Amino acid sequence: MNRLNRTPVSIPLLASAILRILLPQIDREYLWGCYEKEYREIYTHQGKKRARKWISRQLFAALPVLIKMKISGESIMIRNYVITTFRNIARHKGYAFINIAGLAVGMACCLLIFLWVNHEWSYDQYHINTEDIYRIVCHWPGDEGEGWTWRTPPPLATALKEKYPEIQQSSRFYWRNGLLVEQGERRFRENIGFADSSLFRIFTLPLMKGNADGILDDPKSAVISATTAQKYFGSEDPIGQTLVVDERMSFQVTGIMEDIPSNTLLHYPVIIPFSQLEELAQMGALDNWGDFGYNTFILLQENADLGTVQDKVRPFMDEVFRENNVALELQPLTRIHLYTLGGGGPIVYVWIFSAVAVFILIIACINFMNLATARSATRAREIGMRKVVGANRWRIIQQFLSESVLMALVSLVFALVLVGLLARPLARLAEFPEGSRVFDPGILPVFLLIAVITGLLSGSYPALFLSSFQPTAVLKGRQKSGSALFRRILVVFQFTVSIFLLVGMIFMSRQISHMGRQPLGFSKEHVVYVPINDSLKDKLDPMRQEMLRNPGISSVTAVSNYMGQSPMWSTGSIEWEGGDSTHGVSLSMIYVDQELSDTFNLEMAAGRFFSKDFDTDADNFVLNEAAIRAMGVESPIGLRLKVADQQGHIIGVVKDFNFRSLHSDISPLVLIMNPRYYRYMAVRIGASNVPGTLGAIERVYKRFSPKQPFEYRFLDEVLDRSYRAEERSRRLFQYAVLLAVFISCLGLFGLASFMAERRTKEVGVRKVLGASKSGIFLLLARSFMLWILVANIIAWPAAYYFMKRWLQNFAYRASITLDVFIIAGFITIGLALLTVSWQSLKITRTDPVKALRWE
Amino acid sequence: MLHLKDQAYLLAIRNHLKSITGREQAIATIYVPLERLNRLGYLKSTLIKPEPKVGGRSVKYYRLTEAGIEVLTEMKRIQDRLWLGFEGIASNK
Repeated sequence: MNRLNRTPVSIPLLASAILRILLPQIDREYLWGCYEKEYREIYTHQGKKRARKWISRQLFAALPVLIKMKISGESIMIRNYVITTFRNIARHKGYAFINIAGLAVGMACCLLIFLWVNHEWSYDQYHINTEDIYRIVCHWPGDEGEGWTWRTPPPLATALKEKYPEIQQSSRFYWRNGLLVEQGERRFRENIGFADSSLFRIFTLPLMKGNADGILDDPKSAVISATTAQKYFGSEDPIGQTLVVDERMSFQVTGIMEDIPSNTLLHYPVIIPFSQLEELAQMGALDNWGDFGYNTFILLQENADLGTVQDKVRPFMDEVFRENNVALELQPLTRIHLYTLGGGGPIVYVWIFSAVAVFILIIACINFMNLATARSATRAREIGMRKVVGANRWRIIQQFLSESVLMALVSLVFALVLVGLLARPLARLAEFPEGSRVFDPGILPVFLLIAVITGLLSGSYPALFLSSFQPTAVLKGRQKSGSALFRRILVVFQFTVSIFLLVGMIFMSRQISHMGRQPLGFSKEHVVYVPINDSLKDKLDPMRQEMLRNPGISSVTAVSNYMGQSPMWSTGSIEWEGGDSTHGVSLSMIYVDQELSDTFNLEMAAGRFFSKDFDTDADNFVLNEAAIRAMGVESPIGLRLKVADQQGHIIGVVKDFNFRSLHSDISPLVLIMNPRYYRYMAVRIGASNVPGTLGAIERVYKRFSPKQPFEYRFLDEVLDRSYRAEERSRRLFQYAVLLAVFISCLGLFGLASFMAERRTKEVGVRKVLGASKSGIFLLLARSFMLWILVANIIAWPAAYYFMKRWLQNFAYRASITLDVFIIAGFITIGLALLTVSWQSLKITRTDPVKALRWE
Repeated sequence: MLHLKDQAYLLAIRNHLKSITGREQAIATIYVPLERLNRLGYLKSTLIKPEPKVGGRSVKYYRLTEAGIEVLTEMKRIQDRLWLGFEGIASNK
């Protein structure tokens, strides 16, 4: 409502600036009025976001036609500029090559990074309601036990929707990966989503068949994607057909949804009613407020004010728990992919890479500027002539700008070829999800824009500088070749950036290997994980007996998740005997059996682990040291504890181990013996004859579960994968940095050969007067080396500062040592020396007689 | 122009096109051809300056010239000749 009252709604600043430049002078006021009127209308009726989208679309449509209209009157001059440009390219092939190659490589790199960044931002952007979808997340404030989780109790979704009218829809969501789905003889493992019907109202999951209203209300209904339908039913009509899940429950297909883009977190080919979780996944009762384990998505009313809703929802849990310290927060859907709760996440890399892309482009532009100004002497006569026959300064500026934009466009063509070649490998390297569109033709205008900006940027200084020539001075041959100081600053800047990136690259790989060496507190080698389904849970003991008969198998345990990856469950606030109820403690939960400590070689700090000899252990708890610290109790053993609904005693304290990834510290943890949540069998095997032992495991598995396909994974491989994000970024970063260094050197090469050419005469004189070859070489190389040294001195502190910032993302940090900087310094100096020396050596070897004749 | 008579200004033309074709065109994509026709003499434009009250905007009206009407009728004639004998297809679809 209050949007209507705020009268002067105007077009965003950037858009209005572009429009003002583009619109033809005679009708500017009038056209401006048109745009503003439409913009206001859309703003008031459809909101700010839509209006902004509208104006940017308008701009893109206006750009080509208006520019064409603007320049149509000046086409003759433009043609002349184009001709001059190509003549210059043809006459100085070497420089043109360096210019175009540098720009093309820089642009290609920038565009590839742009593709990647664009892809990262695209997650879940396609939903019609994207802006109004939120996930409910939990937050525990506090110094010691601060925590965030998206895991919420199952009754929350309905309760919130009933209480707050601003919430239009709400749905619970959970998933299980790799469940067996059968239809007759067709049998595949599928990732299955569990949701309420309202999911189809919140998200854009277009139905090809079926009615979104209450589509999952029947507990035996299922919605499948078009591809999945094809896979199981071929050309038959899938509606009403039956799918058997996990060998024991059948579902009737009630809807087919279109295949959705892969960049969404809802990418599940089969979605079945949430109520089936209790039965199918043997999860806790779905009315349990203490069971924090599920996603809750909500859709706000279109005009709801986020802040107000947030304030209302935050203290909601106070009504549920007597002593509560869990606050509810709203997390925007679009932030889920890039932002980790509580700070950090992949967004860090998105910013890093965006910055790298901009830097590379600037480096490439600097090359262009440097060469253009350095070579200005060769163009000086032309400019003098143009001025004499009547060109004013603005004309000359126009000429050089259009020349550089033209060069940028030529480079863009080469860059696009490079992008075309490299887009697929990039997608593989960056591990885009399967089936995602790497190259969306819709971003071509953005590419064009980047090219034009590059052209204008790199042409700006040369244009201003060259246009300032005095014709009389030039034609008499008295013009210097631009400010040498300015060029020097540019080169220093280029190398500062390169060195900075190089330090970053070296340090990144150091940090990653540092994490790899970090002791985990449990042994991850030689542990095989085999997923088990519910029918196997009753047969665990006989299976174990059977397996242990093989000499290669030393221990078998059942467990709820991969050790070293964040557990699936966490408790609400726990209560303990004599506990101070004002500061709540939440624990991560892992469900285990008695063999766990043997399989993973865990060490006990106090008490004992679960054991077969005690019948009551099913109710008891083992905590880690961090949990004891958080609770602040002196003698934990024997203490009564209540976790969710379970009451029991603490029988032991296990030494802290990294049960989550090394990004995070070791947080409080409780181990509980409850077969309902077992998901995997973890088998410790001997180092010798691994294939034989795996075969033995498979035979036992097949005997107990003949229908299920046998699958296994090695724990250490799984854990290595969890550092993939870093590894992947490191590799991408490495290529980007190498390119940056390459482009800088290319520029330096061009500059050096130019300098060499200019000083041919001087070198000749020196030689005649008896200078030695090495003396001359030193003379030429010295100034370059000095610049690189200056660049090093500037880059080091900057790099140090940013490394420190980056390290904040990790709980275990490698120390920043001086050698990283020194290595980067030597690499750059070495490369620069190589680049410069080729040219320098060439002129030191020239015959002084020829040199002196050189004109 | 013929449809809108003397109410033919940019946004009105745009809305009219939208109601006929169902597609919304960008403002500039309409303005540019209008101006070209204007320069060729097929259209004549009059710019009405804003009234001095607050919020008034200038509006540019377009009107067909004699030459414009001539060209249009010529085009219509050619089109009709091309369609001669095939009117059935057009009316079916």
